[in-house]
Amino acid sequence: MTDALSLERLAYRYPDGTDALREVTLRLGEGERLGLVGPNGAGKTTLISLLAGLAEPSAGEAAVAGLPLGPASLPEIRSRTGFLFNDPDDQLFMPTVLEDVAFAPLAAGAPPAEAERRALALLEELGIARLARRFPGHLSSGEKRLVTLAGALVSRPRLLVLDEPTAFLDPWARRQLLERLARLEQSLLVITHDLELVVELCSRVAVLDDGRVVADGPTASVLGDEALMAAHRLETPHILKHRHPHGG
Amino acid sequence: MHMADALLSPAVGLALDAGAGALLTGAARQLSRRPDYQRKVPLMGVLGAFVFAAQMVNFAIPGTGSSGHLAGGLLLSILLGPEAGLLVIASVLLVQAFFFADGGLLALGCNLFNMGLWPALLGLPLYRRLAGDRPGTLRLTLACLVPAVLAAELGAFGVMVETQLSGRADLPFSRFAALMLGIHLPIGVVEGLATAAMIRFAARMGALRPAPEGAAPERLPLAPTVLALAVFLGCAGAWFASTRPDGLEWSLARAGAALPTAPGRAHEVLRAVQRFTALMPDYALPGRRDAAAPPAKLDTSLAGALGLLATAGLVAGGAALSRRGRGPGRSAR
Amino acid sequence: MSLVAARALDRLGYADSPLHRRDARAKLLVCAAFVLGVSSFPRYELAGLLPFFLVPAALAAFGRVPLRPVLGLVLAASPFAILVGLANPFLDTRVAARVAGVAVSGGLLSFASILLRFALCTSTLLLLVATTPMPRLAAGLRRLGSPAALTVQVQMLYRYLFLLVAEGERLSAARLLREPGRRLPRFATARGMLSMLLHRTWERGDRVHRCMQVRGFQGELPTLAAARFGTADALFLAAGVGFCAAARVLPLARWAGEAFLARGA
Repeated sequence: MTDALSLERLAYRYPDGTDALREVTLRLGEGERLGLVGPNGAGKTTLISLLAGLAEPSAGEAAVAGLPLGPASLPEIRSRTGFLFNDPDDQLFMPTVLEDVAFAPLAAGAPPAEAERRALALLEELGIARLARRFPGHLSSGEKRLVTLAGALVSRPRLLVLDEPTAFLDPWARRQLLERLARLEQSLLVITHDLELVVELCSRVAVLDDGRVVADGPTASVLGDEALMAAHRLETPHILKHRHPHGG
Repeated sequence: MHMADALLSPAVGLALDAGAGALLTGAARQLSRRPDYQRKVPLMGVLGAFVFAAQMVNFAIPGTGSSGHLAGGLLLSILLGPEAGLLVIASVLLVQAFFFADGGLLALGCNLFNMGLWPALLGLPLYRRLAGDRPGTLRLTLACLVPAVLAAELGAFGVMVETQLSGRADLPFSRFAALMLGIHLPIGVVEGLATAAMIRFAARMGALRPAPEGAAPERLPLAPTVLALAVFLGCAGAWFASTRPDGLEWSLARAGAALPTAPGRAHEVLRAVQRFTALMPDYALPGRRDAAAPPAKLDTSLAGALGLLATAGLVAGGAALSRRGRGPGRSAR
Repeated sequence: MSLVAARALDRLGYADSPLHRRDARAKLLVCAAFVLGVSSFPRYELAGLLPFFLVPAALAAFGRVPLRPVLGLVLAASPFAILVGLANPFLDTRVAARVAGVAVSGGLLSFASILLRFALCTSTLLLLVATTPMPRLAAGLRRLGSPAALTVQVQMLYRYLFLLVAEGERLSAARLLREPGRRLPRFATARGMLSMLLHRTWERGDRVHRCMQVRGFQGELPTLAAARFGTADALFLAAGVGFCAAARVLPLARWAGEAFLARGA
């Protein structure tokens, strides 16, 4: 089977001429979990926009969920890929949790009864069926995050792209989400500042800085490299410092 | 100022509800066919919520000791276009009635007329004409100030007409007019200044995008607008008739005084025309017309409402026919 | 502040009670019949309005609604109606009735009538919201024939209402910390605050649109199969409309008084 994600010298230039992404080459295998880290302004948000088809790359090739990125394949790519954006309130725009989770199948033309059944099954699976009739605005941050996850998983995607999934979460809710994510079979691309999350969840990590991938390898060795981290305005997480004293 | 159910008679409330309903339905249909509707859906929603958030920001009006805030009707029309602006204002009014007891169920139509229609119908074209292509600060301020004041005063006029025609409150016209129009002058000025500031900011933010090439010009749909205006004018006319019992006879008497030699003929003809056209002579229901009592207010407004519904039916029929005559696919102008 | 009460009202809508379980359409129609009944009384009516108070009382009781937020909002919204009605006692001084030997002017009667109408109509509408979640009200309006583009807007507005209002409150609080001596900001300050709000609102709109696109938004917000209009809903509708019609047409207040007197005799 093809890779879940494959980027070949992908670039994006703003209309004003600034380069957001210069050359990004990245591969994510089926079922693999890749962390993508980098300082602010490294191009992480732009990369998500390109993958979601919200902006067009100025150069390079990309295949998402086994399909070449382009206008023709976009609807199919979007149904095979789940996106979790930074602020759950942006994503939960429907008036009830159930309708929000059922949104993607409904928009894709599934009959309402079928969409409702799938949404309820998924809420059950995530242990949040009790939220089905609630108004998204009344939920806690942790609950909102789990509901966005349900909304992304409902079309059974091959690939999940997560943008700062642990933002706004208290430690307990973060732990709940982490355990949930660890049990998923999908390929994960986790774009985050939360390096401890990457250590716990991802076997591999790539570092993005100034529009380029500057490092790509096993999580422990990349994030444990204190010199590399410092050079790209990042910091080795504490758990790695304990596990690998002095960069071992 | 929100019209309340308590000040309305059903005839006035329902007539304006019907007019507002037709207008909203027309605007909704036209809007959902626009190519940029998809993009506007979330934007309209958050801008409606912005109106409420903006009301958290009360500011001092120099020299008056009172405070003001942005009402947003003109701003919404400029940022979103007339149809979308009107729909957002309608949703704002609905939520204000539901959650804040501002307005009411029967009064929704009145409030849409008073606060939503004028910015979308008159305010926006006036703004565009006054502002031109790339207005400077002063010109932009003026271009917002004039329509904002006009819309506020027309809204106040609407409140007066609706209140007086309903006959639940007893304000004398001259004092009511002085009070309402007086209060709404500074309200309109503040609205104009605040709107101008927001438009300047929106332009810097890149939010004032020109309409997509080749799209139909952004105007309210013709037939429902004419119908809504007919309803409103019908109310204003009925109210005028009620403040001057025998308005036609009064003007005839003056005409008669000016032409002392021709008393009978013209008078008779006009009387006949009036009898023929008016469903209910002198706007009084049959059987309740005793000489001493002036026509009851309820009868006046009921008669007015029936009359204007008939007018509205005619106008709507005419508009539908004229549109059909121009062939399908042609959008309302 | 009416905002606190409005938030309380919003939360109450999601509670559970026999009234909460009724179809939104039935409740909207009963409310409409109620408002029409109340507003169609002539201007001096008082006695005829009194039986209508049974409706908000029943709604509050069956919906288990605490009265505090409802009364708070009714009071907060009352100034305009009071102001407009206040002229009546001064203008209409004709003696219209004698109560226990004291002459009462027509203006006083009509003013009192306006106050009763106001209390009736606003409290009933607020109780409708306190017993029905807003999304279901919007869906009910849609199924009663409101244009989809309008009810979608009501939904979106409601979804982001309290979120953006909270941003407005944070801005106001921050302003008050910087200039504690000033109750209201100057226009220039307010302009900055409003610009900030508009900026955040616009960005929120862009982000929501991205999220919608990614999940396959085609310009319509699809809805799930709506709840059925059951027998209980039909009964509720019939009872509500029936009572409003009876209270409008029959002299219920006089009958109640006579029954009371007859029992006392």
